[in-house]
Amino acid sequence: MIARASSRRKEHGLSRRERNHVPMNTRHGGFLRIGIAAAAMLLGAGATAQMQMANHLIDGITGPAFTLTAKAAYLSTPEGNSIYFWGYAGGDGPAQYCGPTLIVNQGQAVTVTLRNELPVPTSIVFPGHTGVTAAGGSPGLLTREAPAPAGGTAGTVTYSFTASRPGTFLYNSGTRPDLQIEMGLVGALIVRPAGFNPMMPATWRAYTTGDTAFDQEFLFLLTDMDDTIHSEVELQVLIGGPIVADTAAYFPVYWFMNGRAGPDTMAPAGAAYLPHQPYDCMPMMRPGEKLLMRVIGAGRDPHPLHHHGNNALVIARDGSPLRAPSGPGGGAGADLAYSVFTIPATPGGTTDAIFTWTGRGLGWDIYGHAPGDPLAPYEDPEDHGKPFPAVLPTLQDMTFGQMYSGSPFLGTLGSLPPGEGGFNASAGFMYMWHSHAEKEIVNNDIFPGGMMTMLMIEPWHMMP
Amino acid sequence: MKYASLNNLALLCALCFLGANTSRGVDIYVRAEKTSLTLPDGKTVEMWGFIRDADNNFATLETTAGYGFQGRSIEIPPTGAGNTLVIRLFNRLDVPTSVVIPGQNGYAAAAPHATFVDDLGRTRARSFVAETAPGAVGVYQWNNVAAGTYLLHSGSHAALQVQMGLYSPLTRQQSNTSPYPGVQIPASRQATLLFSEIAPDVHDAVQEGNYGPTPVDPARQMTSTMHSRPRYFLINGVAYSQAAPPPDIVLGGNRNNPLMLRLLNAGLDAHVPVVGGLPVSAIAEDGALYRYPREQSAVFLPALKTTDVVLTAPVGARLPVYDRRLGLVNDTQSPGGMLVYVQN
Repeated sequence: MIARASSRRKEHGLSRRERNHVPMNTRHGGFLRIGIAAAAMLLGAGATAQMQMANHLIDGITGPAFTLTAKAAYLSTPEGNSIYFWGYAGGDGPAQYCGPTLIVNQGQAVTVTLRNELPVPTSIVFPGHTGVTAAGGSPGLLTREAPAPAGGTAGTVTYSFTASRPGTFLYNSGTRPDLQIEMGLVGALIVRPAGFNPMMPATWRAYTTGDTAFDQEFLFLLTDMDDTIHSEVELQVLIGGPIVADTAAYFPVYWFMNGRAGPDTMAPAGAAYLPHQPYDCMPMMRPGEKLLMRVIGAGRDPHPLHHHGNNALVIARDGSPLRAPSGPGGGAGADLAYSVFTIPATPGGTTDAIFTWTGRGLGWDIYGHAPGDPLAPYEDPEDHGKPFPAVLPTLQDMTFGQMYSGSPFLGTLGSLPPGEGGFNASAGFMYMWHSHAEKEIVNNDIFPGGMMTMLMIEPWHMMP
Repeated sequence: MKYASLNNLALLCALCFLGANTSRGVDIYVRAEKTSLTLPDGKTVEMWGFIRDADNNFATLETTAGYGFQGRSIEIPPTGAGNTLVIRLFNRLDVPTSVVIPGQNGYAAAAPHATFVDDLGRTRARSFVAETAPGAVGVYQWNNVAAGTYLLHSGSHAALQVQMGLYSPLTRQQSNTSPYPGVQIPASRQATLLFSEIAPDVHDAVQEGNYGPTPVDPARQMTSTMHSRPRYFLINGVAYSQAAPPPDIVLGGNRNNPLMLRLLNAGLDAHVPVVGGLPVSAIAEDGALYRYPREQSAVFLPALKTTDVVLTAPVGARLPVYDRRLGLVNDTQSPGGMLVYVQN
């Protein structure tokens, strides 16, 4: 059963975990395998199959010296549209929507050289950082700009600053931001705290204090898009005319998470059919783990990111931990973290939150234990052995989704008719994470889609 | 809020002789009147504005002071000068209007809010508080006026009258050197930044007499602001223009010390002020001091919200303050909109 299900999942190109556990050459992060297994191992009757659930760090490119190229390309939306956009590319790579996630360490001297292949001047601003200097290019309203190419040579400008504090930040165009942010010139910047080692999960913290430790880390860079503006700009670029777009009439019809609209959010990172949208947005975790959500409002509108399953503890805003200043006697200030089930993503702002889930409070044993069975890792004893509170219909009376494992229990597969299910080989649980502005979970009026993905709860152990 | 409407000229003149500051507090003389605003692309719109009568005397109508929609604050003397605020509103508009100050909870109401009878014969509310008729002077009173940053605005048909410009910052210091208890920032280190929007179709309909149930031209009738959208975005009543940029806001005092920006949003949409991309400490919201400051670099400012932020900027820095919600155009012209520079 397990082997068959896994095989089918791979055939459909959805074996995301398997793709991600080996970082791409240009990427940092993805799933870091801890443990030995390469596939589920059947250990005989009554034994437990050990799954290779991995710990995830956000995909990105490491610095501290970066070269980004602003250029045009086309992005894809799940209902079949292809939209002209402007994006940042890592070096000479393809333009990305959103731009490459820049990952640096606290204290590093960061330089970002911007090459401009767009037909208009452009630039980058780095909100949340002090002492940002710019060299080269020409003066602009918010910072120095890389001019449009002249004589086939891209204009350039270089920005420098010290990543003095850890946290979640964004970068975006500082030149005509109403148009260029809309066109796609946005990206994330993550500053790791001192002592962070990507190969040692025990060192993983969002900030310097131990209460910001995490096991899984995912990015939620949220953007919105009015494709009529993109069509206007595309035509104007094509005919070589001035770029005149009516951004005051902005009316978005697309919404993205990490540059993808649902359900592409759940397609594998680096999917070949999304060459300009390399980042996925599908959080995965095991019960009891701490999942760090780095939420960025990179578009024009605020978006309420609603995470089903449990509340999350908001620990930082705009790269500043939610902790009061130290009192006169020194020591740590008051903990100002707070718990929510919807994170309001402010345009230009970032929010860090830690999400945990154990199934606590559901009122039934999610593992299907008998009262005398041992507890599963992080299982809530309160519900241990409590029966599933419904009588399942027989298979003849059911229809099946691709993600149904054949069982309501975490980590337990059940019988399914031939050809049914098969996309949930580890019998995980899923919760939708989406914009709570419900019109934003469509792709140009086609439901479902937009700012929508799924959290996957993977079991610690696969039950036979 | 205590209210009285005076249509009698004699009574109006009698009011003129009331002192500005009384033993119990302060009297403010404010006019509501029409004016116009020319935007950077040459478009001129009719505005309705609150303007402080400089000599506290409606017998003469001074026009030297700026309108509330231009960011001109009504400044209440610091606590200690009495805690009662009386606003005497001279309505020079063609429609009834009124004044409310969200966050100032010491209303002393002496008259009911205004109502009207709709087409179905139902009595419905038209205002939040008692109205002042055209040509009349209304008296509004608040007790226990608190220090802080507030947005005074019309309480009558607010969906239209706020859009037309009937709003103004209202500020009160805790003391001459302190905006809030425990916060030492002198007035010379403070600036007020009022974010607002212009939906020109609304202003045009009002100016042409086509707004409301009896339009001059039925083909151009506008019955509500429901479908209008802002196309101009202003800070302190000015939209940025590269050809004629607004003057920098220059802060004095000791430039090594922190500065404070009072941020207010009179628009219908939320805006997100960014101060040169620097991290700032939000210390108060809606005029209420936070227990602890909140560090951020993008300040979410919903409609009719006020937030006070404190930051330390490099000496000599020229900080662009702009809207990350991207209200950065003047109709179709760019650059423009909500951008101004603050010089430390």
